[in-house]
Amino acid sequence: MLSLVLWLLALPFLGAIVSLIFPVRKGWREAVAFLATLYAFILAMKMVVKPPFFFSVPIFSPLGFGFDLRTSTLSSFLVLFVALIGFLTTIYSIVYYRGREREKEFYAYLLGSVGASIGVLLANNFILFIFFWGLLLLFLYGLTSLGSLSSASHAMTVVGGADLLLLLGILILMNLTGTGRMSGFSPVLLKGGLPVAAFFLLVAGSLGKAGAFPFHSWIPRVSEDVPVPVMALLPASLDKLLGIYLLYRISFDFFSLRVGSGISQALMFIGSLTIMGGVLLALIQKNFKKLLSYHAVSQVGYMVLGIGSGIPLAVAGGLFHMINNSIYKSSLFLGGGAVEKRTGTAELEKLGGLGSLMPVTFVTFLIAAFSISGIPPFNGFFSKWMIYQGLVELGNQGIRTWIIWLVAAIFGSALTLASFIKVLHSVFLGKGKDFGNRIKEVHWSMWLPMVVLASLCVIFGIFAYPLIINVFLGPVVSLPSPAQWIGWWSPTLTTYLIIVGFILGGIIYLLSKGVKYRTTGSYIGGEKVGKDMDFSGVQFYKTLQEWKNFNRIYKFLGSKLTDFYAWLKDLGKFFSRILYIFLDRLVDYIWQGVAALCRVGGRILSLLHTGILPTYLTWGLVGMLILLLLMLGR
Amino acid sequence: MNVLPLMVALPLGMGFLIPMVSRKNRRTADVLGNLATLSLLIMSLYLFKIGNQIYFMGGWKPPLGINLVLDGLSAFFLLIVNLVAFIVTLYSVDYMEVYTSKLRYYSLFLLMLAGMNGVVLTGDIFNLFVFLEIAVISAYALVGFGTEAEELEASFKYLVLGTVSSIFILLGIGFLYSLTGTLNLADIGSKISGISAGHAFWFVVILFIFGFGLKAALVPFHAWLPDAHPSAPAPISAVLSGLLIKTLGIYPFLRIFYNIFGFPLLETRFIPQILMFLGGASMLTGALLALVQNDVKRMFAYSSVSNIGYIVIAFSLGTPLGIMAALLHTFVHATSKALLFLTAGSLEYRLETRNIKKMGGLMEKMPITGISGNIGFLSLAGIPPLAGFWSKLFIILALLDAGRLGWAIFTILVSVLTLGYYLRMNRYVFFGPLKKNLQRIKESPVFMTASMLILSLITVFLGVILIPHLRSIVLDPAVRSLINGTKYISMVMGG
Repeated sequence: MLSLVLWLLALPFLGAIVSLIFPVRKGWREAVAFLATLYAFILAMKMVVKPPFFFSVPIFSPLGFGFDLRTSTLSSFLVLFVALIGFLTTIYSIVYYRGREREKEFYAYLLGSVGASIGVLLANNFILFIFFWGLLLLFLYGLTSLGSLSSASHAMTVVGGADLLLLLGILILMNLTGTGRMSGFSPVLLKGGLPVAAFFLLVAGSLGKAGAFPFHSWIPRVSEDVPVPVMALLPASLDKLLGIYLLYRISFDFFSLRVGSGISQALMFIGSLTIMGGVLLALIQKNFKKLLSYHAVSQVGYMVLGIGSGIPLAVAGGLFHMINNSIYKSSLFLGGGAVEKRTGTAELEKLGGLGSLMPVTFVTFLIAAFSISGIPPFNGFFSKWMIYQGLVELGNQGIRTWIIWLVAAIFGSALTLASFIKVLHSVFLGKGKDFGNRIKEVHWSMWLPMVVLASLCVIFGIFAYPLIINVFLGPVVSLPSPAQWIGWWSPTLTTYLIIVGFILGGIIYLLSKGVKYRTTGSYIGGEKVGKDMDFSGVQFYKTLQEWKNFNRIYKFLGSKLTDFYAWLKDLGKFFSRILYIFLDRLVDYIWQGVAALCRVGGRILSLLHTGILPTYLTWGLVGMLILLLLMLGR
Repeated sequence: MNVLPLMVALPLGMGFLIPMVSRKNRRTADVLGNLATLSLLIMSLYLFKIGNQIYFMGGWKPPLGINLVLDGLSAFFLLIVNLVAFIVTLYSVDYMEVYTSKLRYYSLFLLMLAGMNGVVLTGDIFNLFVFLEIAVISAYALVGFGTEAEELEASFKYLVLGTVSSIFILLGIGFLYSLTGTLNLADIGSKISGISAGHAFWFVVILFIFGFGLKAALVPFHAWLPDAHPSAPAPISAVLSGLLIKTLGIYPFLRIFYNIFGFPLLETRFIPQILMFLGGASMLTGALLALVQNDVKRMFAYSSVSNIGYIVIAFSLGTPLGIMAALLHTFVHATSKALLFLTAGSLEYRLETRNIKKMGGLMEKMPITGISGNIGFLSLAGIPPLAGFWSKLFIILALLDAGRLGWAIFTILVSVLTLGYYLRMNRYVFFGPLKKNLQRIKESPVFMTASMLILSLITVFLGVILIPHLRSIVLDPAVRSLINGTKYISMVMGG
């Protein structure tokens, strides 16, 4: 078991080193990355079925530092998903990234990110944990720098700032518990200033990684120019997995979050704000990569909401949603990448009618879009459903605010659907733009990962009980038996019904084949649809944006008030101003003053040296007289 | 054969011999002068092998006769004096060609050397005064050697001030004689320990501070130096700044205050405090004045005032580390400042000006002078790993070690000033654009460049005397002979 865990930890890093340092031939680098992630995935599958495992080597005990590893049901599962997403992204990148610049670095950072994420999940020591966490930040910087340096530094500033807060929180927590281990102590009660401060610092770190409000601004920023696999790997899945994993550990392992406490309400507020803010901003985007990245922000809100409520069902829903999100959001980004690869643009206005040209991409994108919008029977619906029920349960326990959170969650879900209708219409449906014959389905190695992920969306949706609830979430969160849930939902039954519906529809279609009918072009209001009546999906929600009250909301969402990056920038400006005035200028003035004083002193002394002998003699004698007076006056 | 009297007798005899034998051929003077200083250098190296030794002139035992005493301190000073003197005579071979009377130059130079060696070796206070006068009177003559108006004026100023100080020294010696009834240094030491420190004794101390302080150019007794040192021919400037102010100023301070007066002075904190104050004033004043000079040699002269301040501050601490730092800085300053004056001479020899504003970009035209000058600059500015860095470092360490934090900070600040004025000079002289009228400048003749190179090498590698093995030969005995204080007395009187 130990060798398994260590191999799992070392393998991606070894791959990274090989692809970064060794001058491997063209094509071999991809092979190395492929094999490393594949093997890591296989090892992770082996690990999932093994019982929990502890391993500890104390290294520097006064600081509580040791090489402590631990696997649990939760972390093993997450490792599995990290490895899976890493593996699929690698397959996708083989063709997608071929011939681009800095290929060496791309694979090295990709593998490094996977390795660091596995390290974070396996670490059972705070210092080891923060080491891997920081390593991930470095790789994030490396990967985002493939897009542009300015967006990379934006990401670095926000996530790095959040990591700093996390570090502070960890130091306080280590002080509170007196141990460097991440397990084996009873949860700290959230009472008094220090534990609450530590809690919020740690939460800031986790939200910074996950990209919730107000730490969200870097995700849309980097989405514009980084390669799509990077988006699919880090902001869409790994960051969410790690951030929410940490949030879960903070809320229930390190501290004990009470249902209905003020802190719980605060977390739910952040969650709801993130849902609504993210989705409202997503609605008005004209670039689908940016739109997807705002959804990546918005979806975090559900997880924070679920975990923040503290109701077991909602917590389980939040964790489930975290996994679902990494599946469908990766799929969406990869699909977007496929479209961009073929058409060369991500602007919604320039796209259209690709559905028939790229059928596989369309179908997988459709499934993922339904999934994220919470349409049954896909997995996104199931996890959201669990969260909704958890929120209703919150109301049953007498917490009055439940209705606000519930409305935010459901409304956010509706808006998500709305924004995806816009995307689906603009990209895959609607009138085709003039692309010539260039457009065809992408290479199989690019659509295969999308198909895998889309089928996971379906499978996790339909077989949620046997696959997820019983195997994975059951041991982690003590759930009530499904029969006691308020809204009993049977996906299998629904699926049967849907299939029956489809069959019925098919029969009706087949029956109608015999009937004679006339085919003609589309027309609206009695007139044939011409070019001038073409309607791009971009315009769908323009009214929202132009409507007065929403305008204000958008202003607020886009303003500095909700952006951690802007806070940091303003803070930095403030400090640099202070430093400039009180250090730079002051020192400069002092320095110049001293220099001038020295020069003036030299001049005056120089003037005194007139070359007149009696004067010189007088100095000497006066000096001696003073000495004499001093001596005799003693 | 005992070489101690030779250290004085050889230059003294040679000083008279050279004008007699080499009237026909000038080369003879060059050869004889260099031979004399070379053999003195070899002898001074040989003295390290001997260890402590006392020579009784005419066989008369201490209280009565005059004796020459060799201990670690004298050996150390003899090495510095004769090393620099040899290099300077080498340099003079070419440089002094432009002056008319080379024979008199060698004669006076060797007399001065005899005086300095005598001061360092003698064990008799009146004899010390005599040697001091021999050295300083030769120096008066050498400062005015060019016989231009300016040089004669500087010489006259030096003469008047120097004589006043000599008279005060003589007065002090008289008071001491009246107190103790003896002139032998060791004997004075043994007698004075029985006498309570009255006003007369303190008066002597003040007189000595004035007298030797003026010879050492401590502020406020420094005013003659910036006139006298630049006026002399370059090799003489090198000797004056590098050696004379130390052998006639610093050495008697060390010898008399540590070995002879030892007990009352080291017990009261008053005299060391006064000396530190004077040293600090010298450091700051010299540095500030050097900052605004445009005359190369004048700037070096002010820098000497400043550096004497470093030395005085360090030895006033009285701790072994402080004494070692002071001695090390004495050595470093002797070689570096001599090197700088030789460089300045080389510049003046070719450019016929000493104004830095008229120079510029000379690094390419006079590479050896440029390199030597830079080494000298950087060494005294305290750039590692040159010698000056180590000595300044040790001075600051010694100040910190003695708990004088304020003085340490002050020293560091003055070091910054020192760095500032040397860099300023460096920029004006060797770097920057080459002036149009300087296109045809050539490097100086061979003897000048050779001697500059030798001194540069010494300056670069002087740091090695901190290596334990060398330190135990050169520095440690000198430090020990001061730390042991009045053991000097028993050494002389017992032997």
